[in-house]
Formats: sequence, structure tokens, C-alpha cells
Amino acid sequence: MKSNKGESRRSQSVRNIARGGALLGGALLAILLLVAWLDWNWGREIFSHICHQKGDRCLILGGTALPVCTRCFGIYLGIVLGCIGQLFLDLRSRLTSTALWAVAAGATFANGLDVLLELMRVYTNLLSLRFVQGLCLGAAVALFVLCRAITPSLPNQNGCSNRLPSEVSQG
Amino acid sequence: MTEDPEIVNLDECPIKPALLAGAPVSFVLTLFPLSYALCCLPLVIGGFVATTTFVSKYRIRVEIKVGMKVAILSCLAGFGASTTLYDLLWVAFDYRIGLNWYLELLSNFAQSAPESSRDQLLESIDTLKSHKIGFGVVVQQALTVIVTSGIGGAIGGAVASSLFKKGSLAQ
Repeated sequence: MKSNKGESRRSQSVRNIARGGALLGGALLAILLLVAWLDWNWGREIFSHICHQKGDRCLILGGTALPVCTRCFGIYLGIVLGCIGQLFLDLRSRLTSTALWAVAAGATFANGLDVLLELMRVYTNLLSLRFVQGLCLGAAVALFVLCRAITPSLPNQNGCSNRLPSEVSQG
Repeated sequence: MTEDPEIVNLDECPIKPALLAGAPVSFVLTLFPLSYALCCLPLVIGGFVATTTFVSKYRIRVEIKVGMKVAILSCLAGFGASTTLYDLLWVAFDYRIGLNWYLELLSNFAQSAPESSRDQLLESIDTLKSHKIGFGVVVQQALTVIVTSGIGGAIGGAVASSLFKKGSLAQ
């Protein structure tokens, strides 16, 4: 029973992190879409420091390219989806550590291989492939972080209040 | 995995050593326009180094929010310092670090890019050349530092705090 209570609090803590990640990530995606939709140069300049913004490698919204490339957009969307997945499916209790490592390593390797193959000119500019790989990497990183997250410790191991009886009676 | 039950007071772990490790990494990696090739990876690396230093220095485990905070602060310090140096050189000597290399790279990309994105690239080259430093540019740079440090630092700090899980829990 006590163990369940502790587990429930840990689960709540991870849910809070996932909720925060989904909200902040969602806000970031909304800003990216707005910058493209309004063709806002000022916003585009801000994001130019975290992405190359090459037009042919960006998704198009309303005739204007997004301020980040397809892979970056996929990563951000993947992070949001990973957080939502944790919120609604409680993947922390279902995924093993080995599975998490395998998924994260696989997604990272796939992205690295894609960059390498492009540099070797095996193929060029496959937007959908880049988007899917970014999506997988973002979701894998989000799940890796959330499922391995260190949660705050309980006030004491018995699940009782740490306050002294005199403090309780006073207030 | 066996977990150390001891809990360390987080106030007894100053973040200065972590900042001294992470900020220089962010500084060096953001001083040159590496974002064109590496997207937000330089800031993710800077944040990761800061949180890893914090965790290993005190042999502690930290919650995600603590890891993110340390990483974001180090990215803010490093990227802020590199932006300040960039602006100082720009004002004093009309020299912008890495600009010629960046313009050359953009020109190369413009030559090989499809016609639709070539115009956009050439336009961005002209904009970069004609840029003059002023209040608007400084405000934009400040916003860039805050937004990009938030994104890169959050990812790097979250990954580092979930990766290293040995030692006492600090909270």
C-alpha cells in the first residue's frame, strides 16, 4: 500500500515533467508555424542560430519555408509526441531500460547514417525520410529522458508527515 | 541497480564548477557559425557538459529540472559571452567572426540548390552583407540567446540528468 503511494507520487512527478515538455514543445511548434505563416523575418533570424534554414530542406507552410529544417521540426514534434505518449500511455512502466537504450541508439545511428549517405551523395534531399528520422529521434530522446527520470524522494520512507506532533496541533 | 538512499542538500552543491565547464564549451562552439552544419547540437553539447560536470563533481543524481537549469544557465553564459564578443569586434573593427566562411558556404549551397530556394539563399547573403549593428540587432540577438539556450540547454541537461544515475539524490 505504502509502496503504491510512493509509486503513485513518482508517476505523478513524471507526468508533470511530461506535461511541461508537451506544453513548452507545443508552444515552440506553434511559434515556428506562426513565423512561417506570417513570413516573419525577425522570428526567422532568431531561429537562424539553431538551424541552417536551407529553403529546399524545410517544410513549406502557406508558401513560406519553416524557420527550421525538416529534421529539426521532426525532432521537436517527436519530443512533444513522446511527452504526450508518456502522459496517456504511461510508457515508463512498460518500457525496459534495454529497450530504451536500443531505441535511442537506433534513432541516433539512423540519423547519423542518413547524414553520412547524403554527404557521400548516395541520395540527396529526401524530405520525408529526414522528417521521419527526426521524429523518431525526438520521440526516442523524450521517452529515454522521461522513463529514466529521477523523481523526488518522499518526505520520509514511511509516507508519514515529518512534522512534530506539537507542530501539527499548532497549525 | 542499487540506489544510494542518502539525500544531499542541493544548496550545498554550487553550480559554479558546472558553469565553468559548460559555458566555455558553449562559447567556443557558438563563436563560429557552426549552426549551419550542426543545428542546435553545439548548445546541446554545452548543456550536456555542464550537467555532467555538476553530477560527477558532487557524485549525485539530479532531477530533470535541476539538470535543465544548470545546462540552460551554462548555455546562456557561453552563448551570451560569444555574442558579446562578436558584437564588440563588429562595433570596434567592423569584423564579424566567421562571416566570410559563412558567406562562401552559403554561395556554394546557392550554386547547387534548386532554383526555388536559390533566390532565397542569395537574398539572405545580401541581407547578411548589408547588416548593420544597432539596437534592433542587439535585442534580436538577446532573444536569440535566450530562446536557443533554452532549447539546446533543456535537451542537453535533460539527457545528462537521465543518463547518469549513480550517487546520492540531490534535492
